[in-house]
Amino acid sequence: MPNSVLTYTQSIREATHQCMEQDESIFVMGLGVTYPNGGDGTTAGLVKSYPGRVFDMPCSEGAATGICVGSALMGMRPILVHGRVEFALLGFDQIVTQAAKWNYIFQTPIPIVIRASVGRRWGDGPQHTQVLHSVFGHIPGLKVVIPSTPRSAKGLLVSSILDNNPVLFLEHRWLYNISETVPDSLYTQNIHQCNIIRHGSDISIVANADTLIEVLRCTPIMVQHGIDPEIIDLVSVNPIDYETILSSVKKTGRIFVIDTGTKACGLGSEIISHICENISLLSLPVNVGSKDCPCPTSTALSEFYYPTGVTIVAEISKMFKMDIPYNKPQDFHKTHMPSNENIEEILNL
Amino acid sequence: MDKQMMLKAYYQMARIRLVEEQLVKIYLERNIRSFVHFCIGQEAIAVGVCMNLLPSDIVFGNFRSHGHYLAKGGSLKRMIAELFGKSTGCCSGRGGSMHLIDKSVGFMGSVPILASIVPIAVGAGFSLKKQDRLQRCVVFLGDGACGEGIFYESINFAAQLNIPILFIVENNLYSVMSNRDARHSPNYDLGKIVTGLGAAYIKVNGNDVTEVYSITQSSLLNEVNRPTVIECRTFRHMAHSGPIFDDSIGYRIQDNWETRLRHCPIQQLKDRIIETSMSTSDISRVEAAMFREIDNLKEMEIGIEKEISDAIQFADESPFPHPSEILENVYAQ
Repeated sequence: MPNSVLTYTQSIREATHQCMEQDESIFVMGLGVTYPNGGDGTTAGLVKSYPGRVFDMPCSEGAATGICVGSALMGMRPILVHGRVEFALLGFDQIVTQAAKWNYIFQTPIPIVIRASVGRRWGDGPQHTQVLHSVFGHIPGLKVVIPSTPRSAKGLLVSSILDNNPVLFLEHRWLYNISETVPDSLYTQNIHQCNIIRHGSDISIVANADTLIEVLRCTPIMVQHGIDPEIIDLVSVNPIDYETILSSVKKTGRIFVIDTGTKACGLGSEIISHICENISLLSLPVNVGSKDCPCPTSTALSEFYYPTGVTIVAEISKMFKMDIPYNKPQDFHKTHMPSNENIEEILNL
Repeated sequence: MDKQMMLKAYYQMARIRLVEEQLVKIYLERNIRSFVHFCIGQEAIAVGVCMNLLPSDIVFGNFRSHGHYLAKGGSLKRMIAELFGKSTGCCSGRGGSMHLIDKSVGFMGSVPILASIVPIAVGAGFSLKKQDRLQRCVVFLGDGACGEGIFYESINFAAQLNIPILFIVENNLYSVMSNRDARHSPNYDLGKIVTGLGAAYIKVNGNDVTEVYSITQSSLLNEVNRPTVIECRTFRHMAHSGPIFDDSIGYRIQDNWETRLRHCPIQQLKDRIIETSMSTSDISRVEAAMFREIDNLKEMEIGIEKEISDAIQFADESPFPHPSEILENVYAQ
């Protein structure tokens, strides 16, 4: 099977298209998913291929989530699309208290995929940029994935659709335009497994979504200074693949978790505490996330809200007791505009 | 409803009543550790609705669903075992009284977060329609659930998608111990709201099983393209939760003990059955016909009591789930 260079958006659309072709029980529901640029392009044109199976809905996200639960328990495989994760919160009861517990209580699987767009983009402000994966990661019975690359987005979405559990599929909007070579065929990616992007021996860096791209951008600087990082794409927030992370940290002795979400009760604390319960580290662990405040809209402030290359290099310097200069101040574009980089090109830097 | 149907209804209602009365009796002495809400007084609704349904039709319930589950044909043994926390329970002990299920007879599950079950039922109804299946879909909720927005969202959704689902609202006057004034404005009008959303709306006397039965029947027949809300006025004889009566608290002004007994759906049906027997008898044999009917109903009850004690024995003798199973089924395979 040949490959194509696809964006993150195109990968999601292709995965949906190919799965719907295979399985008639799949339907896609969400506000505006039938628009020409539905789901930020991820559902564009699908309604033409699958009329009656891709449809708009009332602005009733709570009921929509319950309707997916009810459809799933009757044997359908719904995909619910939210343009912002904040709208998924209107279905919080249905996700957390109904969908995630239904199989435990009733021994009846609820195979639904809830797609929600998360994270930074200029101008989106406090109520349109949350990530909230840690909130959902707290819930047993729910799976939460956050793909960081187009290839991963396609494989993970296919796996999420095939999975017999409710899966929250978080799409980072800053990644929609990044591209990568993606197999044309229908393929799956292990939904529970971290993805080691770069093997290294000095430090294990666990990142996800935009923070992974930020880490990859900084990798050449680290290498120039003699630091050989192992870079791990987290992939799954719930459950977390501790096996892969622990075996990496056993090798490197150092852990740096950088997360796109806010820090309090967050992913970094969770991963680091688990590591510290099991391994003695060579240096203090580093936990970096977005600032513990709502994301301000003014770009004068939001520039300092997200963890970027500046923070990464500063933390690495501290950890290795070096003085690594960071000569590329984070410009407006790199911080606030969706990245249109190519993954292979970043990796070859 | 002809006499045969009335006898059938009586059997179902008496069975629910006797099961719950027995559970009330043994609740404390047997250490039943499942938070419980009894439906004594509300049996006519469950039975009147479910007598219209086939086993393949699907029903969803709430925290007060012993009656719905039993009326739909759910296994009594597995329900009692579930309350006892046993592995033979209908949820293998993971649910308890507020989580009943028996998919073999179309009882698809019950959950306690008031209106949370409503969109789930709409989703199931949506699937039936999508898959061109002829089964009907019914959801039971209480009047308290009508304060939650998702109920109205769900009606709008069902109307927009032309789903012929029945929402059975059991209005027993109280939300826990609060009366209508504490939950709604004096101008609140459920009928106006739900018809405004595109549903049909009918209000019935929920203490009269024949009325519930016939209204449900006509709704199922006539409303094939839109949802219907049937509001059933009824009385909850016991406290909101627990094996207790709570008249002494003093909030029950509209439905004191005497009112509740006067409107008891089972007693009313019993009177009607006996009356029917008497009216079809020769005048000289009226008394004999009456006693024969009373004996007949009594015999029915004795049979039910035997079934209940067998079910309790089954639950008693069943094993508890093993601690090693605690993480099972968090995720489906």
